[in-house]
Amino acid sequence: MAENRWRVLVGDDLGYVKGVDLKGGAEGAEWASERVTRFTNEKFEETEAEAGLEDTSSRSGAVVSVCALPQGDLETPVAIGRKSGRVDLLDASTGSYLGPPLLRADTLSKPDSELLGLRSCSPGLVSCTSGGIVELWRWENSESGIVLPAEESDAGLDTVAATRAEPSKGGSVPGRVVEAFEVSSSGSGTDVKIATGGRENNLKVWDLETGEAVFVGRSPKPNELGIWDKPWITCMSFLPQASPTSQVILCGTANHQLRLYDWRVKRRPVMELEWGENRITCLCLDDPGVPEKVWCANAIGQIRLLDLKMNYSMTTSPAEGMSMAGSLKGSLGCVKSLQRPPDASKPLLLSCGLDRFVRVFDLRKRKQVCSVYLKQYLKALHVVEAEEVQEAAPARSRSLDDVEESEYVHEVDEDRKRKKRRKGSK
Amino acid sequence: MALVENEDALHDVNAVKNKHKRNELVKKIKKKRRAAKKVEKEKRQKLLKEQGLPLPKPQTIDSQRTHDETFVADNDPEVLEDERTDEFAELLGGSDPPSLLMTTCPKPSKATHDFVKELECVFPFSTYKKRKETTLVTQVVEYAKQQGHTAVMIVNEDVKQVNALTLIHLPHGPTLSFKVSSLRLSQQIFGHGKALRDNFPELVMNNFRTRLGRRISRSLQSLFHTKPMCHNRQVATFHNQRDFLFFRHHRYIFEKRKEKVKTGGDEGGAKTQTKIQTRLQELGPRFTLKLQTIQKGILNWKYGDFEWCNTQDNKDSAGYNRRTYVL
Repeated sequence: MAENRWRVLVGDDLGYVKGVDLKGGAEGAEWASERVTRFTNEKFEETEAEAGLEDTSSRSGAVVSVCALPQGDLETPVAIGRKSGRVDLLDASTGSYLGPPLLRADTLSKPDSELLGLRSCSPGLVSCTSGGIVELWRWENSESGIVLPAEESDAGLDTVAATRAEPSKGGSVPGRVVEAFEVSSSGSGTDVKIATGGRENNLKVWDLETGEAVFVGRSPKPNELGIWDKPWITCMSFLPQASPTSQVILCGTANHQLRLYDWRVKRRPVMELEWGENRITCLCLDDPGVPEKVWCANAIGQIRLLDLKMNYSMTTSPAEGMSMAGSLKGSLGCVKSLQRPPDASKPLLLSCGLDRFVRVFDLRKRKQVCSVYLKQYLKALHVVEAEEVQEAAPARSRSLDDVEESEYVHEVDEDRKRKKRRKGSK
Repeated sequence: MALVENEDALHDVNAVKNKHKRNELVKKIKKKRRAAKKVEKEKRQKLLKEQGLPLPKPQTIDSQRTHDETFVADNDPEVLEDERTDEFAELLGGSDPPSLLMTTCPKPSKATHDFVKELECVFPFSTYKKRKETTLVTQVVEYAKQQGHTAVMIVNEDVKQVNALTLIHLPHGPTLSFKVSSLRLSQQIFGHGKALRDNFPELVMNNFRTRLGRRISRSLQSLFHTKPMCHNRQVATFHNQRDFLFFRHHRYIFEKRKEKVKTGGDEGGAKTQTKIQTRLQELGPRFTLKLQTIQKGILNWKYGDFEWCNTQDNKDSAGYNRRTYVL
């Protein structure tokens, strides 16, 4: 197995974005972090301070999402979404910010509405706020680089305002917040589906073009005592299907249930499983192409593998349909983000959370292979492939480790040697 | 007459048939060995001292703890930045006194009542509210918020013994839950004093070295005033050792004492010299806390996000051993 180099971009509660350079994967070699770099947007910090956008006391600059731009071949630009609704663009390989932060006018006018996250799909970048506003951000690819026109970013804007006043039995109930959302898009980018859900706000799937709900989920049937849980969806994941856009969604709830919705079949979940005693915080497909196994994490740091056994039929009872098939141990606190590396053939899973560690797990051995302490509550994680450790521009980023200059040079030299060797072998 | 030929050999003792005699012999031999060991050790230390070498440090479980990368360095800019904006920043940075609401589990027994009574003397300007049987914790928290309290402390008991303590910081959390053990009220402490009520004691926080430890230390600090009443000479100590937080409450006094000091020389005249001596009086109570969970926000077992919690998963994970400590 050849050695891999990855850069893990981690966003934290204070609004810092850090890059962790991971190295390993070669036979016999262990995974280790080479360097931790903090990326600062010094160029534009002054303008932020002037505008008074950064309210440090409430931590509105906390990173909620780190997400790659769907840029085709180019994978390095990364969008960083913050709680206040600000979006920064960062070049992952060099660690420099691309232009000033982008702001959305309507988030600022509504102070209680927070940005939930960013997801990339083929036409652009989709953002969602807790108030239920889904937006599509398009950008122009100019010669100088990527330009995300701030004023025109709401082109193709789609308000899911209907979630705020959904038609229910008792009439419209205003103020139902969205807590989780997920995007699924076909390759051509014409058919984009967005799933939303939250507290007392059941799963709904929206078509981005028409802005209408395609599917409105229902809770499972009440039990023999007539008791049913109010929906509280905390995370969700589209499961890949044969058809271009998937029609099967797995949801995690705050009442520690995992529910599988299939909107070809019925509005109630087709399968359900109770796991643990805590809120389920995030889901991650074991293999991006295979809808059978999903890693789930909860608020006390348990990470388990959910085996869906996808050849379910309507006759199987829920208990038979889903089961837990593995666990990863090591997280000490609430897991906020789970991700597989870009090269899906590598059996690794990365996690970060409130225990202030980024952890790398080996999925074959089911063991933690590396952990990096990053000092803050970590909120979001994104892995990019880093072929070569590039020298970061000293003005924009500074190394946190006390690595001496000579040591660092030595590392780079070694890389070059390794590269040469690899080329020679080819 | 010696019963055994070689009194140092334990295996020879087996020749003695009488059990009591044999036990006595074993005890004797062991005592001898201990004494010999002690002498040898003193000899070694003396030799080292003569050579001017440092004495070897005693190997304790505490000193052999596994490496923890979360140890906080002095003036770590990132940690300071975090602490500038965390939940306790306002209380610890300002000069406003904290106010603590104390309550118990429903239907507390006498043990809990006594404990709370003593805790009231430790935490300044705290108020105790009796909890009705039907009052939920959420209602307690709601009430405390209305009254402007900065923290709620709930003392829990099991089989008429205090066993747990939950600390909820208001209005944004976090919630800490501790296990309480080895509780001794001041009545049970020999030579105890009486603590002054409504007094801000000085605070000693010992050995909180990791990031998590620092957070707990800040949480406990925020229950006391930033400006202690030093003239009352009372000290509250939280000492962390192997993840157990030992609480002690003392009064100190500096006393001037005249002492005879021998002056060197042939005259042999003894001089009197005034010396300042510190004396301590324990006020009580004594108890030990062990952290169970820290949860972000206000207590919510079902839906809360845990910063750290003591699960079986943690103990099963690689690298965990009995010398792994988190504080």
